[in-house]
Amino acid sequence: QDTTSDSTSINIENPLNVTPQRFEVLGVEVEGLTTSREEFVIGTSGLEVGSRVQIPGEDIAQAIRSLHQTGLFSNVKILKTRQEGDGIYLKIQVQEQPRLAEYRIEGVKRSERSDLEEKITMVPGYAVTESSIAQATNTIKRYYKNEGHWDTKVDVQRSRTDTVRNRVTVTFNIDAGERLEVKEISFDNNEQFSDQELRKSLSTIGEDRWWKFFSKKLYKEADFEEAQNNLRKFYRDHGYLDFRITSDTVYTFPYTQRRLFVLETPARGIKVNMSVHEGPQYKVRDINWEGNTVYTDEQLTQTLGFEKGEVFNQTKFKTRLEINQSGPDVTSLYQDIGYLFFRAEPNIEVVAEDSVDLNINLVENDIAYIEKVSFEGNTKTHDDVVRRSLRTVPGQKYSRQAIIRTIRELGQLGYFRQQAIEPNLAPDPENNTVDVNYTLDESQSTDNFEFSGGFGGRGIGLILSAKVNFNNFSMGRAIKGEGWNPIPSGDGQKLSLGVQVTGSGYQSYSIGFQEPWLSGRPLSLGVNMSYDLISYRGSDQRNELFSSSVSLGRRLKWPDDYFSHQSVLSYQLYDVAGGASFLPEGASNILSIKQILERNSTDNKISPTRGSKLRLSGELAPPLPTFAQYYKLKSSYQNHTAVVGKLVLTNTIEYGYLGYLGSGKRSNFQRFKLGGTQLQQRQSFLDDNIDLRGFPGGQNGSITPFEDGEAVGGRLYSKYSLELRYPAITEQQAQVYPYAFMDAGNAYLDPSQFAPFDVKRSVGLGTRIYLPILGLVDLSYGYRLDGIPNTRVRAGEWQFLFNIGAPF
Amino acid sequence: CKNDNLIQRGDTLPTAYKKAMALYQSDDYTDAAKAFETVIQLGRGTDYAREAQYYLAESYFNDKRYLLSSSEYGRFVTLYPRADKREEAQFKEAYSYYKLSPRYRLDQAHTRTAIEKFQLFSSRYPNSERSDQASKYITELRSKLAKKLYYSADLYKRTDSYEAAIVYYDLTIDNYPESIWAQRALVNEIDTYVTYANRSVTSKQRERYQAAIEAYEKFIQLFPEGEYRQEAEEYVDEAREGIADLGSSETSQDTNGVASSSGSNSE
Repeated sequence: QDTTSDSTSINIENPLNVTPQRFEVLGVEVEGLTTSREEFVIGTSGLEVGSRVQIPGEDIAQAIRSLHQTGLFSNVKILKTRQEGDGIYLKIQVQEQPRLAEYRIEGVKRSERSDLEEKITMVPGYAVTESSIAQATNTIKRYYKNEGHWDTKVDVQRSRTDTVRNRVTVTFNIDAGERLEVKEISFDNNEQFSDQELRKSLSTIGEDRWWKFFSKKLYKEADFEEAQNNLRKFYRDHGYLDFRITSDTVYTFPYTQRRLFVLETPARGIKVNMSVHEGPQYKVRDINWEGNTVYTDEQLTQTLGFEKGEVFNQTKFKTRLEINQSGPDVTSLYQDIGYLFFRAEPNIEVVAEDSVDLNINLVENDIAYIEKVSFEGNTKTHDDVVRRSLRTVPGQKYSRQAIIRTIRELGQLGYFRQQAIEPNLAPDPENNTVDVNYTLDESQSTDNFEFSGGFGGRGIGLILSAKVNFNNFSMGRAIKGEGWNPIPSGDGQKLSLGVQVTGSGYQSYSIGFQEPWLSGRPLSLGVNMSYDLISYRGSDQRNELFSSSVSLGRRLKWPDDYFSHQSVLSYQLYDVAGGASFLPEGASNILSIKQILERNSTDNKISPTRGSKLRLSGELAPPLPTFAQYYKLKSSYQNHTAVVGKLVLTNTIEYGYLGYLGSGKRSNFQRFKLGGTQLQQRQSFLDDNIDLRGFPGGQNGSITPFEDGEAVGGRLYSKYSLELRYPAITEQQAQVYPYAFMDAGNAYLDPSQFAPFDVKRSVGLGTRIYLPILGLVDLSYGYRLDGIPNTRVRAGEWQFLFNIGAPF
Repeated sequence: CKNDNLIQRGDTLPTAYKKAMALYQSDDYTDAAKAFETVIQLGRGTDYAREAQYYLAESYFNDKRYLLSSSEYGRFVTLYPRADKREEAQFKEAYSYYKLSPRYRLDQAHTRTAIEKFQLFSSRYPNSERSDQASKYITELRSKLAKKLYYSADLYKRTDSYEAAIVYYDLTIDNYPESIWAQRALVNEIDTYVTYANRSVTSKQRERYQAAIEAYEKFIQLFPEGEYRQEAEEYVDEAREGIADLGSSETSQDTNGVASSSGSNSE
């Protein structure tokens, strides 16, 4: 495009002196071609005969750009050869580049070669230019410097391997040179902190990247900068506002390497030295607020959390003023009640040798209202399912809290990657409105398939269990016959199908469907049906249960919006042959209605880190003709608190009571037994099994009162649990939560024997593993502190249990 | 043997192109796409590469891989702006996005791109016969976007978030006034204002009934022949009655100075 001194060039004239004029192209010739065709060059340039171009203007520039973009030519020129009125003749001069046949990397390890091949951008078939080779050389050198090689030499050779098609092979001969490690980090002029403390500040404050630098002892430019920032932060957080790094040097030096205590070899290493200026340590003298009309000075100062005479910690100041992940901050005070356009302008004023005044000017502005709330990225889940989960509603005051809660609740749906949910605000200060848009990522699968097999222990045999959960089902689309690829999805409904077979004696089939929003209103509908059969080998004993239920639930807004209420109508048909003596022979019918009140403020379904869950339920099976009667009350409370860092403590307390209306037609089904996991307990479906770790559960291993040597089950139970849990892996593909627990519980024959603290105890360790396709698996290994009388379950033994399904 | 149909090392460019074309004509679009890719690689700068680029896009299109076909048509348009097939390619780029546009209840990024691309096509080829088709598709896609907004409003109405419903009905009407959904939205907006007023404290009722009447007047202006006119009139009558009832009670309310709540929901 540089046309030197050719007088026919059109670019040589100062474009400012020329009025743009439109020409018709009357003829084009191309010079310098060896393999490409003239038509291609003209076609690519867009300067065909008959086309119109503006000179000076974009057309010629675009033509040159297009030709360069093909990567086939260098030194592209477009010249005007002749002009006839408003018609011109053009000449395109190109120089064809040799093209790359392939490139080779020599003198390196195989792993390094494949790393480099990923980084080098030269592509066969594209032109080989000085700049593409320089770029590749730079890439190689940068790669080796990051690996600790400071003196890498790259020798480039070009050989024309295909003269017909003008192809060259490029060979990079690499001599990586010596690998240098950081051997010493020292500081000058530091009086308040020792070299040792400062070295620690470089590594501990930052992310593990710096830690890697430290452990591998490699010097990387970016890491060094981050380390310096960490050092500055370290001083500022201790009140040294005037702190500066006055100079830093990084150099190589020879030293003597010792091996095996006696062998000594000369080597070279890297030395890092930083000179610092510390200055005085500043303390807070006064805190002054200006422009605040919504909150008082005292309220703001309290939120800021600084006291007079306190060392001025810059990070704390910024956190408490702007955004604090684990407590209150001044900006939240305003932003949670609509003041989106609120601004805090801090001015830290040095007022004495070692004192500062914090002068904070607040610009409150007006309350902003939410206008439009949108979201993008829902490629499977329907709008309604997302929109009904949004806590930011058009017309409401803006609230940062509402956005945080929305992100949490969208994540809890399980359809979108929690970490990828991103809120974007588009504020309109003129109208005091704000549009909110959420970006969602729906690439993960939500359906899971649980399949498990295992040995259930004495008298149980082999357990085979399979369950499919479709967590984002669409009944509407299923009925219309669309979306069967493989399963109609998008309406946020849950459909699950389960089969369990144990040995030859036990079979269970279940189907469940749940629609969280019935006909578009916040009313959930659940329908469940199951059939269970157990028959004992070598005896006539045979139990059957057919059970079906319909439930309706709604989220409540009062007392607060964490509350929900559910009503369940269920019908059970038991058929018992040759069972325990306290159970009636033959068929029994039970019709019951149950009311459940729940408050759930936990933040995560699989492993909550905070929040609590309270659940109260009352169930009544009225004494209708031909139906058995009872009533049952249950309560449970579970609380999650972060103890230190990511370590979470969960404590649970539960009670249950089974009562009767008069003495006629009492149902002795569903009495309480404790022990084992839900998976093993499904086969003792005549009882209400409460899981308890450390105890086997089931036929001969449950905690239950005995009457005449028969395990009759309790009319009351108590259960307590403490669990200390650590999120070891929280990736999308796998989550692992190891935990330690202490469980206790007991079942009591009747109210007169109820002793809530007379319990059977166990302690132990376990792990909860979540894999998206498999669901949740829980493994626990418990040590019994108490045994169960009348059984072979003794104290001082270990018990392994596994479960599939959610524990919380 | 099948392998003879595939491009071999050492095939000349015309042979390679012929083989690719043969695969394409035998409806083997997956292999055809691979073959055309090879032709493009081998023949950079030739007419074969240009034709191959077009048929690469066609292969993806016929294979229903519309994301790929849209980008390959797009590449053809950029690389060969003067080619004869440019018009066809530019139309099919837009049409690929049209094919990608999902049902209204999902993310509509592709729908919006399709509209943009059809608009680009129409402005470049205003006299093309495909231009009519493009505008037909634009209408269809815009109606889908309108429907999406309308149903967002509808969710808010069902969950008693009246202000939010009104914001979204307004968005439907303002952004897609030509669509049937705008008409439907305006009728529902009248109804929403009336319900909202019914459930409001007395001091706010008049203003909200008034808003219902204004929305009705807008309806009459915009859609005098609208098919929902009957329904709109029923709602506005309710609003007028509401105001009439207020007229008598207003004096007593003024003397009390305290608004009494006649509904549960909002202030």
